[in-house]
Amino acid sequence: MFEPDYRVVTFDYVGSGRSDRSAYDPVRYGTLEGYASDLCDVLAALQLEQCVFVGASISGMIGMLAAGREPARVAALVMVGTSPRYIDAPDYRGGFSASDIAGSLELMHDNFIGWASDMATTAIKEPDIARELEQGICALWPHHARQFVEVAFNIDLRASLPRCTQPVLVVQSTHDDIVSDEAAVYLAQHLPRGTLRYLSGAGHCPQLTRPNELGRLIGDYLASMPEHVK
Amino acid sequence: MSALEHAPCGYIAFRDDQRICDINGEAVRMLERPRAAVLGLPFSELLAPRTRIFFSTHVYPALILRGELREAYVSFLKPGGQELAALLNAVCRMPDERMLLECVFLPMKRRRIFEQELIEGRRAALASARAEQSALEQLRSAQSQLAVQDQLASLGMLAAGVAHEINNPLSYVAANLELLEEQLRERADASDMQSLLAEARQGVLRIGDIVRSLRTLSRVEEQAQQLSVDLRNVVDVAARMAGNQIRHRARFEVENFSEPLHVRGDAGRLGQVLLNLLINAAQALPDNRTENEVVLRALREDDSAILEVHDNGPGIAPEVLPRIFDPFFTTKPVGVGTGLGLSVCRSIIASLGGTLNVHSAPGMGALFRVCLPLVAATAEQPQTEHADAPPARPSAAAERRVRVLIIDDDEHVTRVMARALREYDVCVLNDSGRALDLLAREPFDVILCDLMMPNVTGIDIHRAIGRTNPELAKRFIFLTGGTFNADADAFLSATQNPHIQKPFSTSHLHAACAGMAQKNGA
Repeated sequence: MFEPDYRVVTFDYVGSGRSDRSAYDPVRYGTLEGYASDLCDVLAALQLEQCVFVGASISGMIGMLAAGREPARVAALVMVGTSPRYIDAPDYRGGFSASDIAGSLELMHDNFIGWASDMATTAIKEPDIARELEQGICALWPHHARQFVEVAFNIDLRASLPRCTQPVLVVQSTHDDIVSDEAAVYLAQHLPRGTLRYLSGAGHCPQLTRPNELGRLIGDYLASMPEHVK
Repeated sequence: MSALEHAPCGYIAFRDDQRICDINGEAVRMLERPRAAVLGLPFSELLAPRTRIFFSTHVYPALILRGELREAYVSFLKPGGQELAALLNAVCRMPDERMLLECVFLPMKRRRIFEQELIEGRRAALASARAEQSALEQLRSAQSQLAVQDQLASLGMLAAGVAHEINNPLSYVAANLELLEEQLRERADASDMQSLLAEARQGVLRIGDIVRSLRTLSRVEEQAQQLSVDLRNVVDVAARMAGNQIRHRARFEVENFSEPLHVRGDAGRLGQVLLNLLINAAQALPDNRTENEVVLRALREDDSAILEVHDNGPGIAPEVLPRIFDPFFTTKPVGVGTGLGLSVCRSIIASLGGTLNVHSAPGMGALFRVCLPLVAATAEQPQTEHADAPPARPSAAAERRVRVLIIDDDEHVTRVMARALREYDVCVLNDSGRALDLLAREPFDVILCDLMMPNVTGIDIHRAIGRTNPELAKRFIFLTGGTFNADADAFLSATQNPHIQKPFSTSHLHAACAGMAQKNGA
């Protein structure tokens, strides 16, 4: 959608997609900063200047951390379904309790770490095939996915929001089970240059459920940007 | 109404805005929610909070990207707050412009329990299989150790026998060579021949060493050495001896220790061990590789002296590693190694109360490590019998002919001994059965008597004489070609009489006879 007018760069975070599995380091990726460092590396490697970073969900926060470190490389940010904190706090509604997060991790364990990995190795002796089977069951690598969820859902970046210098488009779907409306409003309000736009009934993954509407929204926002960003 | 209305599984369909557009009777019953309250509700509102995160971040994206989803565990929320664990299958279709997501699910509380039991059962089975495996391995290793000990025991018998057989001919070869050398020394034109003889004599000494190492294998140990040796001297000597051979193939680094390292033992034996390890290290290195390196290090760890021989060759394969100390095990080509070297080395070190171990992995080189207990320093050992001490010439012999009787069943041995002792009045007896008779009739100052002879042994003769003529019994010097039975061992350690190991040097023989003659006032 954006390719005719923009240079579009996409990448997989370590631990997902086609990223190098051996690069996964549980210490480095024990905090979001590890992912932000990777993003800075990507920006530097491609020598990107004044780019617009579009991140869905937790990726929006990773983008903000990277933009804070490399202000010259990032001109603006788009955060889709992003929350600065998922767990409720006094005067703040993230949408989840700490026990919800713990229960979710347990459920993920049951879904692909417990049964799939325990039994896949029984059925097939070759470990490589077993891994492929396991990967077939879940698109993400189970152990990494678990840590990723653990890291992502325990963040609290509320204090970092006022330090973000770039303009930010915050896209919030109605019926997003992950990001509460309150969290999205908090995000847009506490980012010094935040703008909030709603997408109706799109859920947590509007890029999958409403790609065209999301694209249009982002397109309109970029059109309002100064010329050099495009 | 759906065709699935009465199907025995829950069915829920929703659109891409997540709003539920269909639900069957079984789902209504299981979720305890009236149909009217469910239709139009976002699907995720039926899920327990912990499932919501997993559903929105993993299940739902995967379903849209892949078009289907098999066997996801989810948890529904009933109005009363209880959860319903279920196994969910879903597909994503496009019957019109909008996505339709259809799910079927089955409660799986019981199945969860079964699965958990299966996982636990599998873990337990694996653990017990592992335990069984390790018990089997222990048994196997005990068996192989037993087999090795068996092998060693029979090998010991064989080796001792062979050693004994070799030592007799070796004695006269050695002695003859020495005599020849001595005779040639007086001729000015014979320096070439002398060097040939010297070489031959070196060969004989080596054969003697090999035979001695065979005896070590037999575990019929000579009397325990109570003397100590400074390991640093052993390192110096071995490094000098092996240095040339190693430097042909590798950089050779020697790090000796700065302070004395006294251990119990015999410099010759320890040198043999170290030499063996060094030569092995050199042979392990590939030809023509510039980074080849052998490091010999002596150090101290607590109450132990450590010798390390390290090479940076290809290392030892893991399947070979457990066997390298077995007798007759060799990786060298036929004719290069006997397979006795490391086995003998370990026996020697073990007999001195130490250990010899190896650390290696493919590509990592090999490290052989000798560990010996440190002891207080005693007087250094006297030189071994092979030392090139100038032959002691018996001056007493000129005054009065000392009478020497040689009793040995091997004619070659007696002949060479007689020749070596030609300054004395020598009488030779090959038939030990006649010894008592002769000794009763004629006086002798020194009796050189072989210990192991057919029919009547040296022990028999000595015991008989001891009863009739104790003074004469004191004049016995025993010759041994390596003892290999407990009787002979016990006898030698109990007797006051000196004994000479075959092969012997003529100088040693001279010295022993002269000493005995002097003691007896001859």
